[in-house]
This record gives sequence, structure tokens and C-alpha cells, in this order.
Amino acid sequence: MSVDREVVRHVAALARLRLSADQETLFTRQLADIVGYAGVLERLPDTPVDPADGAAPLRTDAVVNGDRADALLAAAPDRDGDRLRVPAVLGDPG
Amino acid sequence: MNLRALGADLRAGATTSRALTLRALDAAEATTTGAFLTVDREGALAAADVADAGLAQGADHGPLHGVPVAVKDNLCTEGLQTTCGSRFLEGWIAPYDATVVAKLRAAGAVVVGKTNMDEFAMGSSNENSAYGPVRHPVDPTRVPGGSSGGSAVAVASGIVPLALGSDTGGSVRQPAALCGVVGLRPTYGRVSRSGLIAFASSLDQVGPVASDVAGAAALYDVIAGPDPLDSTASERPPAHALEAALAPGTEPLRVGLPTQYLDGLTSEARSVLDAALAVPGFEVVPVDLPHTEYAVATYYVLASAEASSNLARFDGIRYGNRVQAEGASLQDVYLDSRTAGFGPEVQRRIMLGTFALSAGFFEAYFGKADRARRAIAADFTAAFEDVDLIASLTSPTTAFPLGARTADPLAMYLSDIFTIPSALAGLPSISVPVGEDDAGLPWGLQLTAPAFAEAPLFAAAARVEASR
Repeated sequence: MSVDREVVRHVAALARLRLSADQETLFTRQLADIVGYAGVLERLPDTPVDPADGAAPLRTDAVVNGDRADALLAAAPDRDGDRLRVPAVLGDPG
Repeated sequence: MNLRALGADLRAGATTSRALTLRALDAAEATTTGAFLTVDREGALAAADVADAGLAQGADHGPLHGVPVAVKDNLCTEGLQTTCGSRFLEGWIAPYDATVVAKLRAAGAVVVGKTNMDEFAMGSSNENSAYGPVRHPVDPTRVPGGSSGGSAVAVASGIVPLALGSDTGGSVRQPAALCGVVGLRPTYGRVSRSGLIAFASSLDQVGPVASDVAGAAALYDVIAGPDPLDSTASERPPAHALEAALAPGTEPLRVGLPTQYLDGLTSEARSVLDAALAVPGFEVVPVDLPHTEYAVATYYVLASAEASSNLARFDGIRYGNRVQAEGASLQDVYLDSRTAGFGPEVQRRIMLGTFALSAGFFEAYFGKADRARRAIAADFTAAFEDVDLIASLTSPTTAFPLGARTADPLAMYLSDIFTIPSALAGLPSISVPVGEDDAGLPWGLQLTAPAFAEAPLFAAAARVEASR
């Protein structure tokens, strides 16, 4: 399976990254190399596995972090009182 | 500088925590290696004074009491900047301590500063830090290894006797090996990840770096154990590693040498490995790890996939730095903040991981890698039916020149060929210095044990150290 410039553009859009034309060229080559190397995995026989095998054990669903709302809100780049401020998603941004 | 000697001096009144801390702070500020990103003079001296007052009043918190330590900059420290080696978090101050940092403080250790690292712990050379590379303490034209390069150099240069690093695919062990110090990757789940900035959550573990095996064991004893803040932290109580390291015994041990790891070793590397394993009581036998050829590909698919998901939280909204042009949309804020905040290697891994998780490619890459990981773990389980430990070099080469592998990410990824398999299997591995090459650059021996067998692993490492 090959990585071409179209795949790189699609993946960059999914990953919320802007790439310059030069970066697209570079990443196309580098990702093609890495994905080509990962092609070794095609040789692995298909054996069914239980997806739950090795999963972490379930614990009691108890609140242990305490109330840190103020400290966490204080880290936001932009806020309005107890709310995080972002550009308007709907309607007039003004 | 070794922990036991410092502890003896402290308790004999031959020195004070303030004196040790001042020396460490001065050295951390003066070093030209780039090992430190933040030095906390005020906080460290205050902690040192508390430690000295405690000792004077007979309140001794154990081997780390009053000892200066350095902390990798992907571990949250309340009130002190945590950058993770990234522009995205420049100036960010965590609102809480990572569990391991809180445990250090409770043990009386003095946190002198935060160490440089590859951005988001992605790298094997410490050249991916947004704040400049870390240089090797023996030869400044060479890399110290990564991603915990700053922690390894801080210990190797004698700035501190102990430091914390983190290991996802080798990020404690490989820089420890390249710098000539001891580094442990604990069993997955042995040490809390709460407050460790996530790279690949199914692989990340915090581990000790120290100038000797006993120092690493003492630091491990402080950080190991259950934590209600990390549901993947094991609830089984840890065995005492320092006791094991100080009284390692002489009983016979069967040490497996994976035949798959010997292909491609230079003759020098092979003779270093053979000499390192010439330890009284060690019986070296070949073992088979048949799925080794899949390990590097498996790791880079799984770790990158997890990274692409974990790093989605860096969006410029909740914390970290936001880039918002006049009239920008919400989508623009995401795009501009992430594009400006992440360096090239982080962008490359996010892209690779997003690719491996995307529709049409998921089964061929993530699905296959998930199965390969289980096969690799099963290889180790089978091998440990016949041997007590598995041995290899930690890195196939000694420290390489700065810039030698930066243009070819795949060549860089292959630096981790010996450290990745045990990380995928969730097993504890330790790197111990075993001599230098002709240029004085250190080699490291890696020993791997069954899950939760850190105490016997430290004992075996102490025997390797003692036989040098």
C-alpha cells in the first residue's frame, strides 16, 4: 500500500495540521519509507485474538481527583469567567 | 557521585542537603550540554532546608532524603514550568505534581530542575527538542541518546546522582547506555503514569536513571507501587529493590541470548556483549524470539497511533499555546495552533498514526501490529520457561554524531531495535554500563526479566556491575 501526496493531504487534514508544499513532498517520501518498512507486518499470519485479552482490570468508578476546576480553567489560553472562549462556530462571529 | 556515599555524608554531618543542592544548581546552570530546560533555585533550596531541618530533628525519610534529583520535562511539577520539549507548552505550569514527583518530594528528595528531552518523548537522539539538542558529555559533537537525554546527561555529568526519565520504546535505557549510566524501564503498570504527559499510553512508563545500580534501585523503590490516579497501575505491592541490589547473591542464573538479536552486530559489539556477560554464576544460553523481525514496525505503528489520539487534546483551547489570527475560525485555531506548536518529528508521528488508524488502512497496519505485539509478548513468555533473564546490548552502536540520522527517520527508528521488544511485551529491562569503545564512548548491557521481577533484575544488574 503506497503513500502518495493525496494520502498525505488527507491525513494532514484529519490530523489538523497545515503542510507547506515542501513539507508535503518531504512527508510523502518519509511516510512512504516508513509505511513501506511496516509492510513486513503483511507476513504475519492472521490469527484471531480476543480484543479484551490483556486489557486493564476494571476498577471502582470513584471520583479521586477532587475539585480542580479553578486550577484547570486557569490554564486556558482564553476564557470568560468559568467558560473557555473560542471563535464563534455558528452565526455572526462579531 | 553515588547515592549511598552522599547519604552517608549527609547522615554523618559531613555535608548538608543545602550544600549538595547548591552544587547541583550551579552545575545545572553552568552545563553547556543543554541538559536542563528549567532550574528551580528557589524551590530546591527551600526543599533542601526542610530536608536538613528534618535530619537534624531525626526525621529521616530514607535513601533519597536531602538528595538533589532532576526530573524529565514531561512530568508535571506544580508551580514549575513543564514544556515536554515542545513550543506548544512553553510557559505552561501544571496545576499538580505527577504522582512520581509527589513521591519524590515525600521521600525528602530535592527537585533541582527539569531536563531536556525529545519533543513529546519522540526521538532517540534528543535532537527533536524545541529548545535545542542535548550534547553527549564525553564528546559534544555526539548525541546522548533520547528521549530522556537530559536526564541521562545530568547524571552522567555528575550534576545529580539520580534523575527520572520515561521509556516508551527505549527512552530511558538507550540514553542511559549511550551516556554510561544505569537506567530502568519498569514493568508496565509498576509505576504510576498520572502526571506523565501521554505519548503512547499502552507503552509509557516512568523509570529511574542513576550513576549506579543501587541508586536506580533506591529511586525505583520510591516511585513504584499502586496509585488510585492511574487505573493501569498495578495494585500488587512492589518487592524491595534496594535490598536486592545491595545483596545480589551468587546463585546460578540462566541468561538467554536471543539469536535474532545477534544478526548484524559488529564484531566489536559482539565482543563487548560476550565480555559483559562473563559474570560469575551466569550461564549464557541461546533463546529464540521468533517474532523479533516485526518489533520495530509494530512499535512505530502502535505508538504513533496512540500518539495521534493522545495529542489530539493539544488544540489551543484548554491549555498550552493558542495561535489565533484576526477573524480566524475555530478550525483555523486548531490548525494554526497545532502547526505552530508541534515540531517536525511530532507532526510526522501524528501523521503516521493518523494514517494507521484511518479508514482503509486500519486493519492492514494497526490490526496487524496489535497481533504482532501479542506474538512478541508470547515469545518472551516461552523464553522465560527456559531462562531467568534475557540479555542483549542496549543499543547496537555507541553514541552517534549529531545530525547523522536526522534526515532519515527510519534509520533513527532502527536505533531502538533492542529496546522495543520488551517495551511491547510490557516487561522490565535495565541498562548497565559495560565499558567504552576506543573513543571513550560507553556501551550498555540490557537485561530483561519477567513481569514484576524488578528485584531479581536489579540483583542481576548489580552482579554485572560488580564484575566490571
